[in-house]
Amino acid sequence: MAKGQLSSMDLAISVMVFVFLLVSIISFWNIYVLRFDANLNHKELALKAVTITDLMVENTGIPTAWNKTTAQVIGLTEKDRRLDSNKLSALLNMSYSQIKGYLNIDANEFYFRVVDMNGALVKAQGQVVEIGNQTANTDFIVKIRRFTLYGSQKTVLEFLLWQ
Amino acid sequence: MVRRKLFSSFCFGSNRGAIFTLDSIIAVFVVLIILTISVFFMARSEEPSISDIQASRIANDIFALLDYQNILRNFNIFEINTEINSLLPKEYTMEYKIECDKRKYDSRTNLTTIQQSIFSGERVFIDSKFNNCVVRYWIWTK
Repeated sequence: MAKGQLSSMDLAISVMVFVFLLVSIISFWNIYVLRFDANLNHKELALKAVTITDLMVENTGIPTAWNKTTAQVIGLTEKDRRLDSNKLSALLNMSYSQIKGYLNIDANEFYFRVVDMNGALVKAQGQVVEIGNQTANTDFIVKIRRFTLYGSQKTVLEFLLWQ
Repeated sequence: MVRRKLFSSFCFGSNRGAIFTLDSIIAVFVVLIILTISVFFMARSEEPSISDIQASRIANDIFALLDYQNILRNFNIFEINTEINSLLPKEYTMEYKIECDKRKYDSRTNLTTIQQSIFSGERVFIDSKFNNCVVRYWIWTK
């Protein structure tokens, strides 16, 4: 076979291999970038939800005896992990969008409730402690459960966050 | 004719070594870039998952509750274990160690055999005899 023919065949094969590799790499890259983004978004959402529940169950809020009009930071305890009925009641009297503003989650939706160990909703000053609607229309949802005391009763604070 | 001669000498002549060296340097460079990017993405993706983040909070919450209910301070291991079993979600396992002056309790068996990520923490409290005590805990998903 002539030298020119050999070079052309070599070139054709190398171009084919190169194009095949390039297409494969680009496809895999796109798949992994999408997966990575989804994973990262989920983790960011989880971290946000955990931070919010930390704020709720480990802090008294600012000011310490905040109410619907004076609240700067929402914390729901009288002391670490001991829920305060006045603060729960104040939270229940806020609007859903107002709470989202305080928690800095305007781009997200949430569902919040406090239940006893049997799963029954607890009441704060006659109101059931439940905010939002848990029928989230997404697979991208984070649920955080935190153990707390409400009086002498063991309770679970549940917080769901989604985009 | 001159052009063909030049091409021939470039591909098969005295410059052939230089071309192959350049080729290998570029190849190594590309591989290094791909490796660096892969390592970066892998490192980012190995950040703790939601169940890992939950695990440390759950253990922390449980021992805070035991403390506030004065269960820890009585050093009643049976009562502590009962409470832990009632609170700890089924998908987690937890071991703990309490040290109070002369009294000690260690529920650990062998943590080195656990394949999953283990999260640990500690809580300081005062027992009924006013001794400073420390409870250390280790939690992981089953």
